[in-house]
Amino acid sequence: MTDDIAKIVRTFIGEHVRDTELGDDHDIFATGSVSSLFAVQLVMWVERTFDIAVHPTDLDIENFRTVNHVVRFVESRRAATPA
Amino acid sequence: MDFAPTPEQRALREKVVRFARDNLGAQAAEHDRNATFDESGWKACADFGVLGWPIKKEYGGGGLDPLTAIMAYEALGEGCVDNGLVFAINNHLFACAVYIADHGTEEQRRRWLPALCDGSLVGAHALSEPETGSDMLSLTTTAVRDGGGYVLNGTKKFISNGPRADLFIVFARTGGDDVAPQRALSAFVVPADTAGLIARDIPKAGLRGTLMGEITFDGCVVGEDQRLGAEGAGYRLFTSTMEWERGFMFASQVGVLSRLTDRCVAYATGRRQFGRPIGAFQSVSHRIADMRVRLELARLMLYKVGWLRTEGRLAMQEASMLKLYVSEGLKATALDAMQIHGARGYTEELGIEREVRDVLAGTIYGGTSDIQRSIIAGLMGLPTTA
Repeated sequence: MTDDIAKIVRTFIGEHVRDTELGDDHDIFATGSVSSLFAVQLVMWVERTFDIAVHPTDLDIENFRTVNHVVRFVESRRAATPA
Repeated sequence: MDFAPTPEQRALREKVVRFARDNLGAQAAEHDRNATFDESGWKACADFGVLGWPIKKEYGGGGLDPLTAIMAYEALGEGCVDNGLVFAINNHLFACAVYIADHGTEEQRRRWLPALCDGSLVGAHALSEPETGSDMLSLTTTAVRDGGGYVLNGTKKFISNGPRADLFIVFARTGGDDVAPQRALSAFVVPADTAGLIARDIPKAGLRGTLMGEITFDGCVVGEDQRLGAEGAGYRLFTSTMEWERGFMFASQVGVLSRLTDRCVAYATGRRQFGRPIGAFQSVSHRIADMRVRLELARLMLYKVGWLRTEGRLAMQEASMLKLYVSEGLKATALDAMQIHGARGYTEELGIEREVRDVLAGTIYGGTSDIQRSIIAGLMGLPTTA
């Protein structure tokens, strides 16, 4: 499951970052790889793609700065949501 | 899906419209002419609870859920003809108090919110600078660490409530070039009587009952306990709270849409030319029909933003769409209202010309219409430059 999520996240972020190399621990906000709006764009995409509710308090760059951070966020939200 | 307000929401709406009509706006023309803040209207709003509706009761507010609060502010905008007073309230609440409510420590909430809710403090939001408006990541005001606090230096411009405000939410740069732009800004709560803070009035075309100004921070010393959120969290605070400004601040504008539409219906029904009410002419009735459509769409968008916030959901794109649609729609409605009222609409006699001047700024403050379009496009996945 984690690999599937990571693959989807990696593909989406890869389409938007200006860096040629995107590792799963690459901090996209530290290097100016993306626009200031991308953080919100990424949050909205996560919400829509993985069908999870994202709250205003989740708008923390720490949750979205690398592929692995996004994967952990998605998994934590899914785990917290009753089936 | 239920489009109907609850009985409690309907009752609140009626109560607020009645309060506003009976107690506010009698001196609107004078406050507009003289560019003065309506202190007595402010006090009346504070006593009625307007200044704290969305703030939790434990901090002196009314504890209304976001959707109910949005309906209440829509009613305020409909009933109060002093748009300057309402705009001052909007800035006080949605650009100052909610920042502290959402991001403040318990100590900061208890220190500032009761006084903001009871109106003894007027709040403002100091973000824009002479060379930095929409491009907030480029702002140049600095907050440099000094002992246990910070020293603020820089100038903010076009700050609504600025010359009258007692308390500012100030955004400043705490990170250097080695820090990612999104982590380089921090927010601070700064009282107006802080040494080195200077406010200067900036005259403007409309909303003249809200004072606007330039605020200079010249070596202002602030404590670490005045920082809102973590150091470097300013951009996140702004992004997550901007929905209040773009969404909730425009609730009252939807109320103005309603008021202007009603005025035009009444005028077009009573005013006769060529032996019939002017509303019998399609050139007039179609304009008013378009006003009604704008009102309906604006209200639906507004309530959706309120619903999303009530559900604890993000409303970034919805708030931008609302802000864009309501501000542009209100400008069209106000200009049509002036046209329908003819020469009387153009003079000071009916206050329509004041409404026109007041609505013009809506497409500029809180991010211009073009910026809103860029945000909406960016959130759809289109390439962005910012």
